[in-house]
Amino acid sequence: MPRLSSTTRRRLWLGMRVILIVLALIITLLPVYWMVNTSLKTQVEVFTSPPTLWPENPTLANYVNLFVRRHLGAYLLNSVIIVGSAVVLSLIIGSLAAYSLARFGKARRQEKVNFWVLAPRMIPPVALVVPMFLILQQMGLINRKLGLILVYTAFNLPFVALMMRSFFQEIPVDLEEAAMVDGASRLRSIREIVLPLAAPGLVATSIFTLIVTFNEFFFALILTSTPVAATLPVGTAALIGKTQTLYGEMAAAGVVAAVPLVIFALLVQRHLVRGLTMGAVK
Amino acid sequence: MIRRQFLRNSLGTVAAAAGVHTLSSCGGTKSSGGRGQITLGSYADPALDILKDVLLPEFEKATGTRTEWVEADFSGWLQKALNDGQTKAGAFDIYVMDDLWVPRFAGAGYLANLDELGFQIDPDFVPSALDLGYWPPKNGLRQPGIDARAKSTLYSLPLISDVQLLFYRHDIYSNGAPATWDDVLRMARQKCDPAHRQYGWVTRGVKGNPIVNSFFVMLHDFGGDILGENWKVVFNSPQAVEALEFYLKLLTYAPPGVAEFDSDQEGETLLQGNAFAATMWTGWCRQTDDPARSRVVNKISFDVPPKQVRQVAKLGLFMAGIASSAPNRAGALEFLKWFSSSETQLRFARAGGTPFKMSALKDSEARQRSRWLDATLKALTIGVPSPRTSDWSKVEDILGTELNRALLEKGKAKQHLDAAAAEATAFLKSAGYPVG
Amino acid sequence: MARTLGVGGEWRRKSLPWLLLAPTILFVGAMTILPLGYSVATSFREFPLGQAPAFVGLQNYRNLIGDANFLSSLETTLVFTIAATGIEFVLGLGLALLLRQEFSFQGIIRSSLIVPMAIAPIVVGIIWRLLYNADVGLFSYAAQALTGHSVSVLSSTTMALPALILVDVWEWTPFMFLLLLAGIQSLPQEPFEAARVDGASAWNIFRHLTMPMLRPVIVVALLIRALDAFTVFDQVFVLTQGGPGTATEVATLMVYKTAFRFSQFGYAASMAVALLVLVMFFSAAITRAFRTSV
Repeated sequence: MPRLSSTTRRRLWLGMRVILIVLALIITLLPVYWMVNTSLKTQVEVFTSPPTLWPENPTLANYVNLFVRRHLGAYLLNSVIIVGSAVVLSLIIGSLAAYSLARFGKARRQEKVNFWVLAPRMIPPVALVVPMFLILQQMGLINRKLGLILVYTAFNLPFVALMMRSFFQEIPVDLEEAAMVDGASRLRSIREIVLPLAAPGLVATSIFTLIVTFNEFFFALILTSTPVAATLPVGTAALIGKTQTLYGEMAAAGVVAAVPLVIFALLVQRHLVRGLTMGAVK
Repeated sequence: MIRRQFLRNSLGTVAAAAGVHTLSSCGGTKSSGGRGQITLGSYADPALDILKDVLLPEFEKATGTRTEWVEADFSGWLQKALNDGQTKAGAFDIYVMDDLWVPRFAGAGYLANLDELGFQIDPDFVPSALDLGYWPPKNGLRQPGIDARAKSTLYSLPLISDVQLLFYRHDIYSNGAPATWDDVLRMARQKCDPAHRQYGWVTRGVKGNPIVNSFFVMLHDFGGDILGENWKVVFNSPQAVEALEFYLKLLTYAPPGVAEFDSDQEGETLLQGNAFAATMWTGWCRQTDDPARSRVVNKISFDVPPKQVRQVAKLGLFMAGIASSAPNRAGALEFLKWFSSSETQLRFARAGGTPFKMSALKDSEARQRSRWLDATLKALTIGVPSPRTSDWSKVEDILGTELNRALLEKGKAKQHLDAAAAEATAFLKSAGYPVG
Repeated sequence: MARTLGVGGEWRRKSLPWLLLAPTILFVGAMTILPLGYSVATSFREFPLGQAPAFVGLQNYRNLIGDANFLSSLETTLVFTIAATGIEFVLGLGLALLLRQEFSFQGIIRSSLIVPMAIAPIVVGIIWRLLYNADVGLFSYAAQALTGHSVSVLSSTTMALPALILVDVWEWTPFMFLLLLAGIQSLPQEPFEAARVDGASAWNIFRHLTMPMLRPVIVVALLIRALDAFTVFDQVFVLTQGGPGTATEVATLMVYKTAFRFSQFGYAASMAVALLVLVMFFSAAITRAFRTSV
């Protein structure tokens, strides 16, 4: 088979890439579109057949209902405060631990560390209900924002530690050592070498931690009860009635919950690029 | 209670092992803060809307006690309530419960004894509704471990009269409600038109509770039963098999996806005008005439489910009980007394709710507004609840899985019922029941 | 931080790792050891209604071994986990490789691709329930338009589990994508430049350079995702409740039903402990399979 010229090959490859990306976008966004679509429909239209791609009578009633009748504003605020605090805390503490594990951990302890660090995620939540409740009850933190903040921080720490450790591990030690030989303190070498290179990892970890914590349902359900501390997922789940489900309002709640997360992702994803300070060190 | 000892032991372990409880602060939960407020916890359902929107504000005005309504989804609320009962956290004054939960909550001591608190019953209560709140059960067998001679005590009251009614299209059933199940089948055969999405019947097919509740009435109507003498499993009797075969026949006229339908999809099918009839909970009644929910406004009528050999309706009431760890027991009692008084029930019915007092169900003004009250009263009178034992959920799960399988295979009724009966009998035996 | 990280004496160097780790260890300890202990204690007991909890030793575990329903739920869960994680990994890696170079609109495109992850799992379940609905769902309608038959995915014993896997893949491939993309972006440049200068082909670079260097991130991504897939609950609960039949009855659903519907708290605790042990094996296996030489 004759070899195609490199320009043609590159063009073909570019074309393929575009097609694949478009395909991925369509598959990804179709259900999202359906969610937005459903959120603007009245219940009677949600179950129309054939399904309508755009509501015949688009209405914002679902959104209004959520905020006026179902306290979604309060839940949203709680979520922002609780999750924001927990994520920041866990990122800081977890990264510290991760650095330690990456730089000072011995290879053969790897598996043990993996296990203990992932252990909280391994236990099915139903087994944790009563113990967690009792612990927090002892500390007087039931139905208070601080209680959930602590629980979420604890829950995210392992993940952050594990994630950031793997990113720190990717960065060759010689880079830091070279800098330190040149006279920089460990702190400076971290700040100027490790952090920028680990920035993509930090961004990915923060996005994921934020999303998972924001959507966390089980602990929020058990450890909070009223709009004083309850979060968005709890309020959203209450739209599933015993005999009827409010599909339109659920879709609207899904949109409301997803918007802050997507905005955050949009803002930080520009750091998801290769560290550019490599040259400076050399 | 001995349970408290067990909890104290584990608490001790927790405290000793941890040692990180630097936050001594105010122990205990931030509960509902005493006399001026009651906290009601419940699952979400539109059937509770009138109670929440109209009655609770009325109560606040009438008594000055504030109400806080905390709501979660059905399974979430069950977990919260169980947790609250187990740990005695006292976050709620009143639990709203599915009547199926009463054995569990009352039996485990999570509910306050209403007889002791001085609650007075009166003859205006629909008897079948009131009986659901007693533990041990007033009628019928008592599960092993419960003293057969213990006095039946009142632990919870009805809150919303949720019962399965026949919803039917009176424009299709132009000669009135179908009197027997054969009538339903006949009409389905005559007018079913799948090409135009017109189905003769729709129901819930999801395994477990949904399909069991959907099959329950037919089972009894054909002369079958779930549990017979001495807890013997009888849902594979010849009558039961006949009922299931009929059920499967009827379902050939149902929408193709019925095996995955739960009550919300069942209801939506009817409200979209795609089914001629269904047995659904009274919580759906109001939605039938709401143009934002229904395409069959003013086309649905209500009656008791059709007869065959017998005629029964399934009870699935929402119940309310006072938490045994309620911070404001007096306030909770005051609310229950107020809500279950005949005057309030009358106002409730006239506002569109489904009351549990006979005078309210018979009131002509209420009946004019809510045309399902007549059927509701009749259904409550012939109503049958699920077996009153805390082990019913497991039996229901076993039966429900096999019923679902029979539905998927569109046949083999006897085989599946026998399989379910065998597994259920084995389970009951291992749980200490004297299955004959 | 400045104080603890100064270049200092021997004591400081030795204690530094532990200082950095201490808060994490504390938190994790409180969150795992205590509840675990409680669960194990619960699993040795039985809770008959209205009576004191009774100590039953290993009875619950003995029952567990003979419980065909539980064992089959384990099988279902394993199938789900392996299929979902595997597909997500392949797709996520593919997407990451596809999108690692700079290109126009990369911000919007990347953020769009991670939206499924950002939607609350319960809402994902509800929306897909609507999409899969045999009567009014988009997929069934499309199938009807194309082939004349409506398709009833969730009431088919063969299609229900794949349908659930599809939902999971849709929702969590963005996770793999994000992590692997970040991993790729964090790799130092010179090895790649050197290899290109030496004339290595793209495939060889990928196989012998990219993949090995990505190993730490891959292991973590697989572990986390496999763990989460193993404990899947929301979608199954909303979409199928474990049906049709027991086609999608996953282990977590069994634990939930046993604890909260059947009130068998002791038995449920023993299930949870058994699951934990299984998960431990699983994660050890994954870690060992990717043992790094770093």
